[in-house]
Amino acid sequence: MSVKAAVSSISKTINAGLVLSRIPIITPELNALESKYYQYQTELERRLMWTFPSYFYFKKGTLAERRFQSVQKGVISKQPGVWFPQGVPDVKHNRERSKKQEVVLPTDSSEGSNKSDVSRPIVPNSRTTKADESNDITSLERRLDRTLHLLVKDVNGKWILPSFPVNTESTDGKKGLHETAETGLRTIGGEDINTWTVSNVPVGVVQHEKDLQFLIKSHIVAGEFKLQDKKSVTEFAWLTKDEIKEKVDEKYYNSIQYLLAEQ
Amino acid sequence: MLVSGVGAGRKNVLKAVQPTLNLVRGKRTKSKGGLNPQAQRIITQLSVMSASRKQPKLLKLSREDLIKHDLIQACWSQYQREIREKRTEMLKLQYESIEQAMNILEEVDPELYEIANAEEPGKRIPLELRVPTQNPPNNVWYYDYKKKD
Amino acid sequence: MLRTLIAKRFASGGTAYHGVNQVSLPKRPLRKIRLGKARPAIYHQFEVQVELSDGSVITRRSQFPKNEIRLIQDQRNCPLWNQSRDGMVMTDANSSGRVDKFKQKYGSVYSLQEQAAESTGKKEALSETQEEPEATADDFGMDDYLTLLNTNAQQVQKGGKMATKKKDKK
Repeated sequence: MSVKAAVSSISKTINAGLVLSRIPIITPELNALESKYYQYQTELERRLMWTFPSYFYFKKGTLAERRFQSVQKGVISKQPGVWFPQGVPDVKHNRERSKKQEVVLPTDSSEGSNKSDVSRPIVPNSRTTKADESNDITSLERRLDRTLHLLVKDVNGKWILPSFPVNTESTDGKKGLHETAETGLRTIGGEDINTWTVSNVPVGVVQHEKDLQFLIKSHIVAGEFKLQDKKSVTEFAWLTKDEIKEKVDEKYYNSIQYLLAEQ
Repeated sequence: MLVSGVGAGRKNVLKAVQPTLNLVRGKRTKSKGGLNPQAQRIITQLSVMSASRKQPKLLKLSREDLIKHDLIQACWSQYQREIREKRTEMLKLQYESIEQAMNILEEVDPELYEIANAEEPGKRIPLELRVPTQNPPNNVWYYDYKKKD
Repeated sequence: MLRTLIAKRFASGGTAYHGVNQVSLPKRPLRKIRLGKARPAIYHQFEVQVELSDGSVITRRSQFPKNEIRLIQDQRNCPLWNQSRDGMVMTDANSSGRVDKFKQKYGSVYSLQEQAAESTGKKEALSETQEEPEATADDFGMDDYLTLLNTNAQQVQKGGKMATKKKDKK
């Protein structure tokens, strides 16, 4: 696939498009191969790990040492005249050398789990959010493990990347493409949005019959896209690459697909 | 004179009768390899801390296991290669896309091209674009941003 | 100490050192590690869940025997790393810990400066502040030592009655 195409004629209007993305908040989901492989490697490494030097971390005769020792599962040691079906144990430093060592760490569960307590047990938040359950495509909190891109529905009912006309007639100092895109975003999405434009250089161009859409890459840092009026834009959505493929025209998708983040 | 002479004689007799046995309880009679106990203690300490006592047994894979392991590794490296190739292909397309966009822009509007091509000194990635974590924060997104001048 | 021991052990000769605890270890031939027989040091590591100050969790490996770490002060609540957020306050890492609780309770007893400021500020309360240290000293009993010592510790009382100080009858 090549993006190099014939240069179009000059008499086209210029639009500044915006590829606004929300970067992933959580790590990507592992696929079957990855999770299996990581599990295999972890188990191998656990088997090859040296014995945990508990005498180094727990001083002899302290409460901490006693608590640690009380939760350890003992090892089976070698005894004369006993047949061991899984091989004769070879215990050194309280560890069966032919297996991985399983060290159990004591937990203080007795303390009340109120919110302010620093030593409360860690309960991780769910990786799926309410927006995922209700499939709210306008929410920034959906699909936390993927990059989301802002797409808008124009007056013709087509889903496109947000696009703003560049004022080429003004004589006293033209505004750059990136500035046009940023101010344009704020006119349709409100002022309270913090974005970071990667570069002044357009990352790509989509050539239509009448106009050219130069795309500027940007990331949303904070704030929210709130649709101001429904004149030029009727709807908006935060979508992953796969969802964009289903929404937009095939031709349009092919011209922008390499600009969208895979994950 | 005589008395004193007798006394001296008895003392000599006593000395001769009592054997000079000098036993100390608990004293080790057999020395371990001819080392003094201090040195032995140090050697024991060193051997306790030595790596060889902490190391697990060597993994001994059977022929079949070894083939399985090699297969897994080969599969993984192929998977990584595929990912890498896909990524470089994407980067190449993105680079070509930038090049094409700039070429067209230069032709269409040289003034905009100048602005786009201007240097941006001191531009940095904002600190708020974070590295992804395993589980999301309590407040996933910060909505209350107000425009700053 | 270990290093000096080892250095001694491998030092040539073994006669030169005349220290207080002079130990001369017999020279042993070093075990040769043949090609391909070297084994890397893979230390035992635990999986640690680290909770950042905003509640996000990452998992990492560590040699320290602890499987949960909660960060109180990090990039997620530092104003420098959160320029677009207002009202971000620098938090003290030692707040709401055991030491801080202790300080809240008994800080006034041990810090002389605070007492001085208090006494100069309030002349009326002078008599009260004089009484205060005695009262708090009484409060700090065995239980407080136990809480400092351990979370699950229980006081063991052997025998019937604890010995108490008796006043002289005169």
